[in-house]
Amino acid sequence: MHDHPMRDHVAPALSWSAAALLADGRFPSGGHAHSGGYEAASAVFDVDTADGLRRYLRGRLGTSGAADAAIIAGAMSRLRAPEAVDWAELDAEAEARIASPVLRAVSRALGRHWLRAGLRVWPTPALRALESSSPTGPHQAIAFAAVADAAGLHPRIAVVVHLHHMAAAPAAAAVRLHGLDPFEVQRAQAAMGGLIDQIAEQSWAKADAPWEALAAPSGLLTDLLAEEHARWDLRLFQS
Amino acid sequence: MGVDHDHRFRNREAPAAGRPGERPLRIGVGGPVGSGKTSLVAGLCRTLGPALSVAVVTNDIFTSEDAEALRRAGVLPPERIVAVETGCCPHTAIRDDISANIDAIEALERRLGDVELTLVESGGDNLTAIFSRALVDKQIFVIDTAGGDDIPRKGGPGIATADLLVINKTDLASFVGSNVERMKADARIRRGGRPVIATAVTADKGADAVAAWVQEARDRWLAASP
Repeated sequence: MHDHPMRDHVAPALSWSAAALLADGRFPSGGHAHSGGYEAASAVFDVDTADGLRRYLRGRLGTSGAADAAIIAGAMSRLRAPEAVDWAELDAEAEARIASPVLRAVSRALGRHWLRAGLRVWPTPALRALESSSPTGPHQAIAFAAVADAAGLHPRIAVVVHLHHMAAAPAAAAVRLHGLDPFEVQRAQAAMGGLIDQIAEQSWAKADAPWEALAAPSGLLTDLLAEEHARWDLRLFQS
Repeated sequence: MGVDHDHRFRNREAPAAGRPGERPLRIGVGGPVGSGKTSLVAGLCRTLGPALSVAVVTNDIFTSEDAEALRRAGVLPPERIVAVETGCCPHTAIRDDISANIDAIEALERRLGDVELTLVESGGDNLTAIFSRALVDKQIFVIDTAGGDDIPRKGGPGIATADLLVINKTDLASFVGSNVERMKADARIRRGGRPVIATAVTADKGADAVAAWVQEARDRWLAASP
């Protein structure tokens, strides 16, 4: 195990069962209406097969997934001293990592949804502070980090849960849009396990680094496709 | 024991989710695809709109078709109608995960400032789709004669528990071989005394009876004010 200072902070409230709750797609956080860019991508590229889905997931996790992981680990590290958290700085860092205006708006909508659910289930001062810090709603990665902290998730587990959702959204969309074999889709998700663990470990190891030291990979094609997708007149997913 | 109303839902006298003074009354309109939900919402806006400040949130499976239809119908100023997209799953958005709807309703009510009644139209769905009590205070379920006159007998949470059941398109019943009286009788059995209105909402004054029910629901809502 890593010898990391965060363990001291989270250990007393650490909750494994809360991780299951937050990883469950039935947790009402608004994600069901989003395909994680997959609807747009599968209309243009051959990712509408189980193999294609794997390629899509790998690309998503390695780019925006890694960027989100850095934000979540960094935010949860800073939440060790909740009253000292600079929410505006966090917001600016998250904002700077999303190139597409459409995806920034989506991120804030999903952030509002996570915050609303989190406040109802684990109403902590930190969540209330986050709520009052952002009239338009926090970015999804920050809201998720704050909710995961309130629920008692270890930061590394929190990143795993978030990345799980980042893979599960396109996977569910693949089933609904293209009728892919649900068992093959689960195999594709399972195949991401190593990558997810690796990203979680890396982000956790660098959680205390200054923001500028963190890698901020992005999928430019995903950003462009999101802008295009928002203008479709017939779409099944919001993003 | 003979046929009785659906006992699985017998205790469902839903308490209102919000309180008068805190926010406007919210009424959900649900039901299968093509049963006339959008037409009913348009009719309610036409009838109630002149006297009440009404806002509408629509839910669509594909993008914002219903919101556009309402805007085209010109029943309300366009800025009083917003659409929520539901990601293939309209019942999830009104029942299991109401996040996007709550978000849209609160934003709309806040932006307009003067809303007295918010109508939330579900995307067309199956007979099990009901609104979460956290999303709306009262719900109307709309079915139609052309969908088959065995629908009320089939029952399900929508038919059994909605605060009002509307059997629409009574004008088409004779053309599709549906028996409206049978539908009403079956509905009464399923619903254990909850109200049923059979009408054709696109006909002249066809939405009046439903509008009167909504008005009464609002009066009761205001009277319950602490």
